[in-house]
Amino acid sequence: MKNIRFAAAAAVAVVAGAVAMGGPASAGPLSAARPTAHAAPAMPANGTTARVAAATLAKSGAWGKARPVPGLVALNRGATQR
Amino acid sequence: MSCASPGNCVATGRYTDAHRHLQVFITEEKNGAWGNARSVPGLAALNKSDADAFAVSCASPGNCALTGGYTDAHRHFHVFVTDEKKGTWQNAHMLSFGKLDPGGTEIAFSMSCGSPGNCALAGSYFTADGNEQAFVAEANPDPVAYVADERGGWDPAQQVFGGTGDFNISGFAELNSVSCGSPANCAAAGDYITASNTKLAFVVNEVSGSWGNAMRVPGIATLATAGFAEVGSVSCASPGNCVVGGTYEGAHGNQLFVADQSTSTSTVLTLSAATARAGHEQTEKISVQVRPRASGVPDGTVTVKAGNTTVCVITLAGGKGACALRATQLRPGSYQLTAGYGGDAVYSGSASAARKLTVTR
Repeated sequence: MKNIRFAAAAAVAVVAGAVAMGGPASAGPLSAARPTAHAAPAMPANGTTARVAAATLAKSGAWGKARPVPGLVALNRGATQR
Repeated sequence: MSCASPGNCVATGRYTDAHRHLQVFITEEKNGAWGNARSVPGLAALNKSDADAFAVSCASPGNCALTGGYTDAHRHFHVFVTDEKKGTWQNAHMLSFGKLDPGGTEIAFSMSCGSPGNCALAGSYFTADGNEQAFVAEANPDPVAYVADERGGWDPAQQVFGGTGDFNISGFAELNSVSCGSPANCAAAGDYITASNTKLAFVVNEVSGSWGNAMRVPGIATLATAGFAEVGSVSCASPGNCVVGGTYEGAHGNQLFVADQSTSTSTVLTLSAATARAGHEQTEKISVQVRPRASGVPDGTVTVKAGNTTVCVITLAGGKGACALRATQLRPGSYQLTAGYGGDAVYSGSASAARKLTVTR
């Protein structure tokens, strides 16, 4: 449970003013860092109209099962020996 | 860092000012040229000690959003947001948590903009009471997962709730990543501590501006036999079509997982026979099956056509269905039959390959 302890420690550091959250701050924005322009469809400028259009079109989708990254287990054999 | 187009990017980070306080800067690349780094407008008035940059997302060149954190006069840590509108950064302001009333520590881990002025951010706040000393003394305050939407202006943050049964994120839960396939259609992912003190990954979907209940990433408990999994990132190419990735500890040590979310389906059309005799066409049974790419069972109807003429409409049950031709439905000749699935709230429609049916005299 080392990560639980890390989270607690990070929180304490924040309150203490150290703002020691470099990990999450840099790791988090992977999605934000992606070019979003391609994902933004041509939507009406009016917010309400945009939401109505989205309500008409959006599908929620279904999540498939988690699976190991293909081929990685064979490469990452050292992980078992730790 | 976020790039809206080639040569048009925004980067953020923190610096130490003359008072030895951490502050947040923005630097912008326009048409391939990086400008000078500058302070986030309005943040100096909010920040009484140290601030940090969390995430930036650009929907188009000159239209970005930035989130970070700052320390107020009571040494509480809050989330700030600021928007760039047509190349001009607005003053930073505190993200409202409304009635959630966190104990004084709020963190945003990720932000994504589906279009200018339509963004989402995800993070955690801490439930410890507002007393700083009590909070620091608390050995393990549980973070609570939240999301917040920008729809023109920023809505107050809302707590993410789990489903029922064995999945419950009312304790420790962190949201590490959010991605929007389009405005108001996003997915966020994080990890939580289970009742049996294992750590597993979860996802939560926003559809047309409404966030649903969080759900455990399907199959992650089976992979993470050592009881540990964490989300790294989620990314959505379009609404309902995302992928989440992270790490888990299983039979082969520490490994990485991926899981896909998909709206895609495929429709299969099957004829009981390639020929039918005119006037006796009721012997021809037409079967359809709609298969999701990811998981689940599609609902809705499938329309079977011979050319442009509708032959029958089948209501799916368990993703399957069938119909029979009427005795004198088709004139003698050759027909190309196709099946078209119209989709439902979860899945997109799809069409089958054509099947040839010959009606003989």
